[in-house]
Amino acid sequence: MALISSILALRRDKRILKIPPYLSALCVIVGIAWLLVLPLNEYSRGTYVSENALLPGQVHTYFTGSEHNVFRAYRHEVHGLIDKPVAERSQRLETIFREQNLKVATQHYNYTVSNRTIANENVYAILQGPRADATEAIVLIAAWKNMADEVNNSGVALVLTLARYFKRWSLWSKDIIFLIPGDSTSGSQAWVDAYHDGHDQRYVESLNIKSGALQGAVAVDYPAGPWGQRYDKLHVVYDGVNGQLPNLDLFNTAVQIASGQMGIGSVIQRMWHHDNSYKDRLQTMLRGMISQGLGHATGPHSSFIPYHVDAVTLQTVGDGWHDEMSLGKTVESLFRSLNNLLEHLHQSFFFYLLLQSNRFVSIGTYLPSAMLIAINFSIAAMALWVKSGRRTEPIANPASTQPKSKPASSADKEDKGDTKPTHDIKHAKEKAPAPQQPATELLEIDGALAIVPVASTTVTERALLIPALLVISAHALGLVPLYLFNNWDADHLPGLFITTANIITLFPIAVAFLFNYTSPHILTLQALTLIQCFSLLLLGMFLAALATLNFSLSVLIGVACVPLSFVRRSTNMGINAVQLGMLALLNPCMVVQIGTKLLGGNLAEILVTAAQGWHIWGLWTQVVVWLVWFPAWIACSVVVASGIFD
Amino acid sequence: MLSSLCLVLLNALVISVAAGSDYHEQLLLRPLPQNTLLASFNFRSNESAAAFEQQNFRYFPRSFGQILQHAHAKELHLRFNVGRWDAENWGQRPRNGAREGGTGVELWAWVEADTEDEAFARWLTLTNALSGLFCASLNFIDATKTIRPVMTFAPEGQHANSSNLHLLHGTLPHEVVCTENLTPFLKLLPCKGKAGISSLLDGHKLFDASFQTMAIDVRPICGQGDASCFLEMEQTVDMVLDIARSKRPRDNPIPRPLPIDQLECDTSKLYNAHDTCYPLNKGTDPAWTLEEVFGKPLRGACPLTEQSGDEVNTVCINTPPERTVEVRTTGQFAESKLASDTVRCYKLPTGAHFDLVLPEQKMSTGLVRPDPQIFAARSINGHGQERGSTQSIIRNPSTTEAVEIVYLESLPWFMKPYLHTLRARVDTTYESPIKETYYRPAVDRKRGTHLELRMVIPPSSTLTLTYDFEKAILRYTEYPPDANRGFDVAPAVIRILSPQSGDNRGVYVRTTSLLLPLPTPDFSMPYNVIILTSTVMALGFGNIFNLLVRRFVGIDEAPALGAGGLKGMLLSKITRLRGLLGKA
Amino acid sequence: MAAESEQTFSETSPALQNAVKSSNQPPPETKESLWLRRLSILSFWAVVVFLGLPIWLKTTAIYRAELPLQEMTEWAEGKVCKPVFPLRIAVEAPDVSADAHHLLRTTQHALDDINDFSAHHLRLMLADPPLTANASQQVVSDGTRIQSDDEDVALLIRLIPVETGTTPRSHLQPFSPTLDVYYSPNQIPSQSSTGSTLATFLAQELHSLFAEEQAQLAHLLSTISGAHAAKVKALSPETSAQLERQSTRALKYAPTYHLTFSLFSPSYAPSAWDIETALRTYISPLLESFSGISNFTVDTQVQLYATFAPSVRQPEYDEETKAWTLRKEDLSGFVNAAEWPLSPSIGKGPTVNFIVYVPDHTQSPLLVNENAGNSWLIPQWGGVHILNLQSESDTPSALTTEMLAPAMHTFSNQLISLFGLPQSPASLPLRISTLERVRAASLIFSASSTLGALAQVYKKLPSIPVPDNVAQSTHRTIVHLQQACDFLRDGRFPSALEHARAAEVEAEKAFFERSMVGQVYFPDEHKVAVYLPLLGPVAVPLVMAALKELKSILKRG
Repeated sequence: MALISSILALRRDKRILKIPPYLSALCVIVGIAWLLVLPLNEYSRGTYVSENALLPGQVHTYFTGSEHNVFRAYRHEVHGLIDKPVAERSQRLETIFREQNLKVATQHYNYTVSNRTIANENVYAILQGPRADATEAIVLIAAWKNMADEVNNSGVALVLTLARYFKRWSLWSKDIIFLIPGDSTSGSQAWVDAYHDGHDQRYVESLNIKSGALQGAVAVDYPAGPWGQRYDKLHVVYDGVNGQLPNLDLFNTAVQIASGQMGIGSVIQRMWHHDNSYKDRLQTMLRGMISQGLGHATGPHSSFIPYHVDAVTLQTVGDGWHDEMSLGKTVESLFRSLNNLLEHLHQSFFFYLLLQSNRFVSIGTYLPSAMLIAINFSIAAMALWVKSGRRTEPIANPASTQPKSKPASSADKEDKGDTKPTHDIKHAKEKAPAPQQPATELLEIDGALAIVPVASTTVTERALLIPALLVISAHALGLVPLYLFNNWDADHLPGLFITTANIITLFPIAVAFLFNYTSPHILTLQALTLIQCFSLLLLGMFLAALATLNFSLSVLIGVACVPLSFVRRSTNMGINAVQLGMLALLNPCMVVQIGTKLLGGNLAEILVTAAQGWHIWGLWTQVVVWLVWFPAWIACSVVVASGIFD
Repeated sequence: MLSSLCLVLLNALVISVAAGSDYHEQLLLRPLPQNTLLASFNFRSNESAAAFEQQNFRYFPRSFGQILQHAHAKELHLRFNVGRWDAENWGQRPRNGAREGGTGVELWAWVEADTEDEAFARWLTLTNALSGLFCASLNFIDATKTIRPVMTFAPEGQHANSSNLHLLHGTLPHEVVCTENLTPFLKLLPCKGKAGISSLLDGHKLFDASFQTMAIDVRPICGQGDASCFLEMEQTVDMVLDIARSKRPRDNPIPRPLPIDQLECDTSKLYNAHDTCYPLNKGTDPAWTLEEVFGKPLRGACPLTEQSGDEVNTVCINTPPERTVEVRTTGQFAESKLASDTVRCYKLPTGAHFDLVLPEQKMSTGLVRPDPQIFAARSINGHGQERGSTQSIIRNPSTTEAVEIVYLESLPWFMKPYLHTLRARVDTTYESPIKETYYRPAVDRKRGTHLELRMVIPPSSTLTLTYDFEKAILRYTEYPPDANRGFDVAPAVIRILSPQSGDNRGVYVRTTSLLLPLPTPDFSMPYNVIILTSTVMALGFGNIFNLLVRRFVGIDEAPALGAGGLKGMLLSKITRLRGLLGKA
Repeated sequence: MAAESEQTFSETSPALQNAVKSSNQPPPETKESLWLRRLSILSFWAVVVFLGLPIWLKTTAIYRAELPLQEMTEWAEGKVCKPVFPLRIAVEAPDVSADAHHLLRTTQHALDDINDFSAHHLRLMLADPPLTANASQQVVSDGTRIQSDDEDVALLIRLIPVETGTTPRSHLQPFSPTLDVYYSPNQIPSQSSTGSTLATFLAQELHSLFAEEQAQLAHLLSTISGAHAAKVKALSPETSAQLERQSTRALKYAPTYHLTFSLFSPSYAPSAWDIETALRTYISPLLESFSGISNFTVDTQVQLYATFAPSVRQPEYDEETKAWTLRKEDLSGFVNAAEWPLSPSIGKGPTVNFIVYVPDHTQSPLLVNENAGNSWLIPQWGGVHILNLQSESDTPSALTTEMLAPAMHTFSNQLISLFGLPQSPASLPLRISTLERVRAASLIFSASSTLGALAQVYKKLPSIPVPDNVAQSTHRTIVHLQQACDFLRDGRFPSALEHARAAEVEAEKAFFERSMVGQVYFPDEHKVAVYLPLLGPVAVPLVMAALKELKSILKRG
């Protein structure tokens, strides 16, 4: 207690008030450095399967021999359907499933996103496990078109073959659902929504037949043509919508079966050639973080994960010597493992960063970096708060150096505890004219006496209303672009983007100018400090909370916002110009644009996908961008810009 | 037309079963679509009431009879069920679902007692005794799983004084029925699976079936007029075998891919080649024999059955007349054709093996299978740990007559339905289909919810019944010790009141059971949790306590670290050290 | 600390020192705040002491009812009750006269001379036939007289004077506890003469009658409690061995027995038997006579296709005897416990199985190899009888009562020996009353030993809860034991047995109380580990504050 009080005593120390900027800078540096050391062996761990029931790769697989002939036939069948209309395609797929004595149904979905209609059909068949009681099911998916918009020819054929093959087994303890969505993202989303009855009847048809609770899903992506194509590696895609991840056990099982049992190498995050070096690990991690941060659907599996259904996509890449049967065997073995599950996957991690297919960092290790970055804003905010409450001229520390030449008599009298108040007034009087020491006054609280400098007792009022209103309005302002970008016509989205970018860049200056021109008394120095303080406080709060949900997004935005905690309104024109320039570069639109350039994406597509994500997948990256990042940026820019006009 | 005939026949068989000698058994085989085969076994043994009272058991198993007497159970129905009946493809349920239970184990009985409590006490003794007899965990049917249905079940037997009879009903949806339940089931039979059709029953095949239900029904029957009552015990096994799967030899059950030369290909395909083969489905009925399908030979008749009269036909097969059925046996048998040749029945030889051989055959005509009176499906909607909703879809396919049903839900206490969210909609009309409701709300850890609805579904319309529920949070001791996949919710029982079937056993349909995932704690670290919470509480306490009892003084008045706070303290320490050194 | 700070600035100028001092001294605390603080600390402690601790103790305490341990152990050690068996024997003399009294006395003397087993002694009494009971005799009856129809009379001796035949001679009636003694009048001892042929004869007769009973009781006392062994007469080893065999073969006593008669057949015939009448004819009378001791339920069943266990060797055909034979060592495996449904009946009490096995006509006749017998007894379990039917052709589908007769005879004998009935004397009522006494004694012993065990458990396991009903049934047990013991003492054996039974039941109930075992595996370390994280951090500030305050109080003087 005493210690705390003595620390509190330092509050008014000028030197302390200089610390925060360095402190937050330190936080940022440490936070980023933290990320950079994660790939090292000391901070990452090798993956392991912690659910004993899975027993990955313990079963012998029999998917060979004549099944290959059947597979080829189905591949031809599927190929024949490529340029057929959707209805006919579904009808044909249904008949194939029916020939295998499965229960088949078709689901039609028809979304309209930014004046573009996404209409297609999902075909799915249910294999009822002989010993199952319709309480659990696992899903095998092959989207008709994969993420690259190629027809998933062999993948679909493989699912058809496996359906025929699985039907012969009697050991299934769960139902198996074979799902062929019309496309990789919206189709599976529509299906899984309808399965959990969370769909919008206007766009998505309800499911005719259902099974039990989904325990897991595996998607195959194998776009080889009718004459097949041997592949080199399996690319395991695991990112879910909004950066949610499947249970690490599922991922491990897939990798372990592929590499251990089938001898197929597996890669992640498009790192085709991963030589286990620090650089590659880091690159993998960063790629993972970016795709997690963007939170977009990365495959048919993505839309399952928000419903707590663990799912991965197996994608064939490269040109090697593995054929379709090995992929089929992998899937068979994987399903045998899932079939063993007695309970929903829960043992292993749900929050992790993968460095390579068999190395990961768990949340406990990586979370601090995001937290540090978030904290830096809070520190800055606190500093600003204190600053806003301080008078301009500093006060001497009363308890520090006292002038030595002081009449001893008064001191003598003073140290007697039982001096009458009347006495003290006298002393105070005679002490007052002492020139070289700061003005002090005497306080008496229930008989306890204290001499304190006047300065420390004069209170400076903070006018909170205006700044609070301004910050809130800044956040409210974020709704406008959020709405526009999600509902604007697809063709005009790029134009909208450019205009918004320009408007946003100029907006702070305009605001500052307006205020300064109309009512300069509003944006007092203190008000500006408070504005920045509030917005940074909110920013820190949001990012800290976000870090626990979507770590990567929090880190990305945090890094992009770092300057906000350092920019200050200065009277120097040059400094202001520099600050403004930097902020202009770092405004959300700019960052998005530059990011797209760097990652080699197409801006228009990304915008459409974002809108699609908003309407179909329930993506909330935009929300973070427009309601957390953007307002903070606006507030700080206004603060800086206001420096120009005086 | 054929269908109606075969129905008539089935009912005739049922009726004939209802009367008759002391022991009787019958097997009815019925090929179903998708290369499946329905085999319905029926064993019935009677004991005169007098002998039963004196505990002189002849055909009636002693162990079972004593349980009944000890628990004062006058009528008892016990069901073991695995798998689902695929109504879309297989049509009407065997015996109208009257000899069929929900997934797992289901038991209901009329217990004679003066008070409710006495009845429940006897019910508990009954379940405990039965669990021992059938190696099933029936003893887990406690108060929370027991309900007293009002409209759904009616006694099948004639009871002298039905005033003090109490109906109790319990289910164990999670119970996994398996061979250890079949063995005691067979032991109850007089011929013990050593002879007669029971010699076909083999655990491996039975539990490899796509659908399989074992039933035991005990009911008193009194002849009209005379007071010659007797107790009838009926044992039933209905199973749907996937012919292809059960024809596999037991030593090699793995469905390896066929050798390429045995694979029949659809040569009409353009791409057909030596390495490309579209599997041809020939649309023929597969070949099978009894021994192949059941994995055991049929060891002749059980000699206890009547050797003459109308019940000599022990094995019946229900196929179109054109289907060729050869009999392979050394003993002498008798064949008789019924229901315009769609049913062929055989009198088994005694002491000689008997086998039916059906070759692969392309059929031109098939049996028109009667549709079930309703289709029912139930599922849980929504996801998440806190609440969800249940949806039951009941369809009445008949275009002419409305169906009146009783819908029975027995929910565990930790699944708390909101009755005000109960909605029953019929897509064709706006008037509520619910005619009568019986609801007994749950009491935590005491009893479960019991909901009965009498509803009418208009012709060719679908009824959708939904209600929301909340998931209770259990104490960690209340979770089962095994791996926690969630909790099973008992299937809903649907009884069709009208149109009524011929006999007094009623028409029943049961939905599948549901899996209810509850918020599951991490059982691995209760102690950590204890420590954590205790520490937090202790910290809070410490702070409040200190605030209350500390004395607060001015900073510069704080003893010992007056001037300059920390600095002063450090200074003082340093100088003190220096002083000490100086002295030394 | 104050001094310390002084020393700190000692080398600086006095003025500064004063200044420092002046800013160093906190103003004295006011009385109110001081008391406020003390009160608050006090109240915290009050809550902890008067509310927290009691609640904690109350909620974590386990209830242990008080048991009369001392009494229980005494019973277990047999200090309380020394069972004695005074048998009353009524003597019915044709003419009640002085010499009859004299005869009685002399016989009694003779008896006491022969008898060497103190606990078990016979008291002769002169009985008067109920019809000839009149005032005069009532007056003279001085405890040595007794009504002959009293149910506590173990044996009634009727003295019948005869002229013909060898005298004295005796005849024991098989179905009533009556010994007829025929004597010639001249054998009545005269008042003067001590000893007489008749008296000695009577004494000998009685002694031999009750010899086996004495042996059994002696054996019982010696086996069960060492306390009695001292004054138990020594038994010859072979008798004790034979008694041992009897007792092992006999069933444990129970108030109710379930008898199960099962018909087993390897084929489908015979599938029916006329068991009701057979039971009515052969078994029911026996059971009625036993009804004083135990109750019986009877059930029957028919089991077909009953095969031997695969492990046991199949019967072989023996040429010279023209019979299928079972080897003696295989008899134990004859009953196929896995396959044959011989599950014990529901309800309290053991089940006694009697099995009629009708071999298939291809294997008939089926005999035991060594002694060509066809039935054997399985100790404490039941009996088996192989029923070989004469008909060489096919086995009949139903068995008649006549066919069952031999089996039923075997079963009744087996039942008797299973029941632990002594071989002699010939009179069934006598044997049963003997059994009564033996049972009563054994029950008293077992009940009291159960009490002892319970006391042991109570002392050994302090962590188990003991509900009230245990204590209650313990008390009831002791009461019943006491009564049983008293009744034994004054020779009212049926009621003694009754109370012994009750005592046994209560004792069992007390000992096998289900709720007593629950807490055993919840050790105290575990409790500590659970409570410490909470109690520790809470206690520390409390204690510290209290100490500090006390210190300050002391400082203030």
